[in-house]
Amino acid sequence: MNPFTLFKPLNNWRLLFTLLLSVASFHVQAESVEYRIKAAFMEKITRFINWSALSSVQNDKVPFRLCVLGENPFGGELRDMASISHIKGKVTELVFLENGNMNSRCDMLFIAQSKQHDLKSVLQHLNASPVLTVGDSPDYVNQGVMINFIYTDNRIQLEINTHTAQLAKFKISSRLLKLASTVKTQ
Amino acid sequence: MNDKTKNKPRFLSFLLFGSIFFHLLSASAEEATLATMIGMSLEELLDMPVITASKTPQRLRESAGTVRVITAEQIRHRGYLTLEDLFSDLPGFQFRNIQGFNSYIFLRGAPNQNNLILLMVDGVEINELNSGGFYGGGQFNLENIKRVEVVYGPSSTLYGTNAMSGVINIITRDVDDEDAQQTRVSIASGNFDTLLTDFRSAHYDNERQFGYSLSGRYFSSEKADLAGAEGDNNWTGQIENFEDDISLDGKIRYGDFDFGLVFQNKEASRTTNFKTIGDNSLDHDTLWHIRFLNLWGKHDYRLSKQLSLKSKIYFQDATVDNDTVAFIQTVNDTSNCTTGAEGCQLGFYRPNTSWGIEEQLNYQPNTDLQLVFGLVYERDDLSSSFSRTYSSSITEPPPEPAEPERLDNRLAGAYMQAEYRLNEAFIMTLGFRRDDSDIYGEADTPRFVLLYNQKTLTWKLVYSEAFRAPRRWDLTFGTGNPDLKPEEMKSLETSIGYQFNQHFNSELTLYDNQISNNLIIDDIANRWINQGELNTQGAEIVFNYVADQLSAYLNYTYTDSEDENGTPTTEIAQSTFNTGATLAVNQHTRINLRANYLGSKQNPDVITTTGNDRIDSAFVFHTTLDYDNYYGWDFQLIVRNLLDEEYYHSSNRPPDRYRQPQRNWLIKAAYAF
Repeated sequence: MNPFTLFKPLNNWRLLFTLLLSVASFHVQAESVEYRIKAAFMEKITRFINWSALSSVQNDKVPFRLCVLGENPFGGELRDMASISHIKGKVTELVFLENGNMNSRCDMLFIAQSKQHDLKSVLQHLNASPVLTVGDSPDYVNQGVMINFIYTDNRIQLEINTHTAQLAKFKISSRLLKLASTVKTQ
Repeated sequence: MNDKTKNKPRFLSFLLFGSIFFHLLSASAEEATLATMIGMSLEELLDMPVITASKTPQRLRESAGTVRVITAEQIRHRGYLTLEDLFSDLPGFQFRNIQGFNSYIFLRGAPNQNNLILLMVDGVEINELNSGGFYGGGQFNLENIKRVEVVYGPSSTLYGTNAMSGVINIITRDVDDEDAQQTRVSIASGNFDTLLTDFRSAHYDNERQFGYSLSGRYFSSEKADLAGAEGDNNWTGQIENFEDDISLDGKIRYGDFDFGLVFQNKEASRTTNFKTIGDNSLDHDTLWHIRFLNLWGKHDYRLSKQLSLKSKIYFQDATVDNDTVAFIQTVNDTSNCTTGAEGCQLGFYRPNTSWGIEEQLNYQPNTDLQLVFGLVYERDDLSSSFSRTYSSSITEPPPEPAEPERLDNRLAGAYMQAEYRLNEAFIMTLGFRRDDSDIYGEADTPRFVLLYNQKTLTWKLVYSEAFRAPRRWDLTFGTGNPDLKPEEMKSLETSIGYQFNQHFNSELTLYDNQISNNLIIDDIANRWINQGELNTQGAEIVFNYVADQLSAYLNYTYTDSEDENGTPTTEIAQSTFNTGATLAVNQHTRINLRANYLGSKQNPDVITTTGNDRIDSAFVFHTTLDYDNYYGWDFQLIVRNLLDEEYYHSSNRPPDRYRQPQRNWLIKAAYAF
């Protein structure tokens, strides 16, 4: 094979020039997609988890309550997700616990990085109640958060703490566990 | 002015037009594609790239090669009905649709009998066993497809034989997909006696970790008016062009085990394989009856965080059934008929089975290195040739052919692939496979990929080799040739992709493919022989725009394909392009308009009605209108060849060229409960 015959189309410099011109003519609008993916994950993982019989999720008459504790990192993504998704077949209500008021009813609680220093007291307050805890901070899963998003190799990965999930009587699908990068059982 | 020089200004104008078009689109870009992400599977979400440090978007193709995906949404909104429809809007594809019993799909400038592409359903090969060629047509249940992945270029390093021009993997809905947890039925009717009905249903019990899915399809159509002048005077007014397909797909999941079934029964007229005006064939009452049964089981076992084992066992039955009537002659020809005064009919029967097992070990010792090791063992039980019977009448079908002689073939293969992240931006992939067959001996296929991925820019360099082993049909066709060697391909490819924003991306791909030991038919000896080369250089440029309310695409393909003497390859157009857009008018209504430009190409033989060997260029438009979610009902109107363009595909058979369907429409209603 003659290597000089390869990439014959490259000889058409006008083709490449035109392509570069077309590339340069666009304004690059780089926007965050990380929390859009995490918002999609928040909706998606609920399909692979069974809430305990004691949870209000089992009550068809009340909406699914998704709470965010601390500084909301999602922008409008969670609100968009709540508006287009019926989690567990129910209307999704989004509640921001910005003042740290933990007395609201929550079925799922996202604990933001800004509440990292309060994590221990937050988890103690929940005390195995049927609230699915979710976060995206290093070591959250070791400290007892049930689902944690981490960033590895340009991708979002899942860490799951089955020990705390079982204490709160959650059943997590084996398929979700299989896809998790870390499963903490103790 | 030759064709090449004529094409250049057109191409540059096209690029500039594309730039302006998409610049305007991006200026009015809608926010967010969250709905699309929610529609993705967990695996797809886990595979979505992001860069946390800069919080900038990345939707870059990190796969080790050019991969293009067709989604369930696109299948539905573009009104695709058949296998060949799926690829009609992608760059690099060209077609020889002979109507009747088959449609041939060419990728990157290599005409063939559908045996240079490996077609899989859920990762299990569905190419016909004896010839290695898959069947186009309506037997694939498109309603149950989650997505279709098209890997361009040679992939024998992972997939073995047939993966020369590309690999197509049709991925069907999983038992636990949220949007599959319903029963959906649809019925459609249109001109050319087209009737389509399908259903799908799935259920997954999370607690018991058990689920199932079942889907089916019935498709029946005459497809086009080919009578007399409408069919370019190849056939009389009595021509039959029917296709009747029944298919069934099923899956069961229990814990970590998955089991699947794909059944397809295709019955179609074989009349279009021959001429009947000015020839001695009858253009009705022929039948090509082929059925496929694929059964598979898969198991994924994670031994540790770094180590996992994927197991797959599969069985395939691909049989040309014993009621097949391959052709009917209206004169007594002793070369084909044993006896008979008025003519004769030829019956075919060709049963084939195969089973195989594959073990794939995935090992990731650290975050920078990923290793894949695989072992494959296959055993084929193939007919040595068609078993034939004849009747001495044009009205009496031939008797059932006897069981043909069966031959046992074995194949063992081993492959490995290493993906190593050199630094933040560069990933290098090295792969190698060795196949050892008792038909064609050993075949080695290496692969090398260098990938640069930085924020919004991706660049790839791919060198790969592939082969297509002669199958039983190649070895025995006509007078037979037991000495055939595998066709071999060497390919060098580079591509550059750019993500302009969250909605808009573009990609340019350049490649050089060289096929040696080319398999061609020796007309004098009437058998396949290895002869010469097929060299193809090409460029594909793609623009994609996706937002919530509007999605659009535009792609152009330049193909320069010739033999070792520089003679252009027949049946391949130098220029093709496709464009289309889907607009969500409101929450119920969507409209899709798409167009295919098929460039002029050379026909293998002179066409009687035109006196030359050119297949003219054509611009074909299609439209689909959806009205969804009306009390559980979805309605659809599909109009193909909207402007009733008269256009043709090339022919490598007795008909001079193949008229493609006139304007045809279909009305579809679906209900989900």
